[in-house]
Amino acid sequence: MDLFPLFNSLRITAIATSAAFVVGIFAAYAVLRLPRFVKGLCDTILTIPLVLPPTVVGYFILVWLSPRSVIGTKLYEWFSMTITMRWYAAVVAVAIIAFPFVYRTARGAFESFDQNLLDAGRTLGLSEKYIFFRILLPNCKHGIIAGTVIAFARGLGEYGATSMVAGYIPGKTATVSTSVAFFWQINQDDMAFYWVMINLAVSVVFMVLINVFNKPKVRG
Amino acid sequence: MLVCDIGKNLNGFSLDVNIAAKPGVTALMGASGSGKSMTLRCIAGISKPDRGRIELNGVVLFDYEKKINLPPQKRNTGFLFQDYALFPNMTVRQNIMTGAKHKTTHEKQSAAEELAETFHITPHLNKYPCQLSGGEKQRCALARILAGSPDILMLDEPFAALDSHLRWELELELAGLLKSFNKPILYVSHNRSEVYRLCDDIVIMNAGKNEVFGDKRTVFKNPATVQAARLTGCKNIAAIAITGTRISVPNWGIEFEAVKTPKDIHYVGIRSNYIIPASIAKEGDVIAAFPFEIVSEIEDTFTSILMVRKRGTNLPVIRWEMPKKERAALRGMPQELAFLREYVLFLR
Repeated sequence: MDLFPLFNSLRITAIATSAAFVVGIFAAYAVLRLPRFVKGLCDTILTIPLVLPPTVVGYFILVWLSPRSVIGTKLYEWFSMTITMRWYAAVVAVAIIAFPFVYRTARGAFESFDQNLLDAGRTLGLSEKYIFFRILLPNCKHGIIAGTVIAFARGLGEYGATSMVAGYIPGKTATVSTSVAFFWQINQDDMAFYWVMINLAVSVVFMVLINVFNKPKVRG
Repeated sequence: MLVCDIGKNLNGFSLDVNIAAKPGVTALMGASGSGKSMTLRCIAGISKPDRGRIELNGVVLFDYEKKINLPPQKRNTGFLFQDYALFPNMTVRQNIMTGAKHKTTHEKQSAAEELAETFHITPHLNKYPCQLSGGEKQRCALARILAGSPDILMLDEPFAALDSHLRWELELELAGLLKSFNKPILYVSHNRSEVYRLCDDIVIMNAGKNEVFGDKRTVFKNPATVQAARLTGCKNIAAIAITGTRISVPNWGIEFEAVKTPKDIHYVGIRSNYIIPASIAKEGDVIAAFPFEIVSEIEDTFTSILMVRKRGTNLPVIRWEMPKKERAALRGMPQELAFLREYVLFLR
């Protein structure tokens, strides 16, 4: 049995979630310090992938990154590189879809964090960098990790945007979720069922993880 | 020496403070929302004033005109937050080390251990803040602040987060610390007795402004404003009407001759424990005496509180307080109450 789709799904989601994790945390931190009006605007833009149908996200990626688009043309000119219909196209799609999950939870955690602790750090002479990495992040880690696990789970099951930007090329861009659709469409119900079961197994593992990380903190 | 002359507008509230504090303890007293904490925050640099100037020991921390605004990290202030603001993810040792400005980790560690010794929290060095009692948290926060040898200490209601039975012991400790710290200390509190015991000077804040400033004895003896009288514990305050040399207090139904009428005086006050029966007062000391009736009596822990008013009227009540022993001795009620000249406060 070819397990490439599972490997590909995990690879795509791991890279995409890592990117969403880093960018999401910094975006949340940056947005919180913006003036109120710009804050609302930025918040809407950064959250919108959460409410858009994934096909719309896929559509925008194609518009911007396909070989005929401005960025796509340049990428080909400079690096002889095409992004669409490659496995890394799915990384872009999944990263965008997963991003709001990290961003929202990080923002929520930062917002509810006791501002006095940050101010205390400042009056003690600690640098903003120290305060961010050693005080803010460690105390918000439960919320952020839980958000990241949800982002990962959501990314693993991504279908709409992935199938638009990366398609289904066996051994190249096939993922768990696109495999289910593909095998169903060509009437190989047993294969579709097989990938459905893998999907279910992976999902159960993640639900357990989510619950583990969402447990209320014991120590302050 | 701290000189702070700043203003700040905050949705409907305007702060306009001009205070100077020399080495020693200066109390900031005021009702909630009078701008005490905001003043401290502006000095520490975690809130930014809209105008003015802050100078500490000759160093300009903030100057609106010259566009100077040192970040809090560069101001070297020691700020004790109401809830102590210990970092929950760090042990007591690590918390104290964050305050130390030494170069190496080793030096920071020994500084932290030394301070822990001073503050009697050595056994707790490896504990997390959530495992500490209120008092231990306060000591840890103080140790953390002193690790950086700040140029000024600012304590924002240091006992607000503590159970009352813990306060006394900690207050004694804090008193020692405050005495030995030979730099300016700003002490925000609601509690007048605590302020009287711990502080040298008092600033009374009212609606964002510093109203009264002075030595604590002077401020308690002659509060000068209504707000200051209230904050220093005066329970009876009433408006006055002046006709010629006569001052009448319509709410109390009394009238008396003014020796000299100080300017801008619109109120008088009398502390509830300074009212005495006219029968035991010396004639010459009495400014006003009046027949009274008791409206209600409240038994406090160690005192009796009588709510009284001029007999046969429906005027607002006056609070008269005395030790229970004296109350018991008062069985045959006196006919009249007396206000002594020395104890009547004339207030703006």
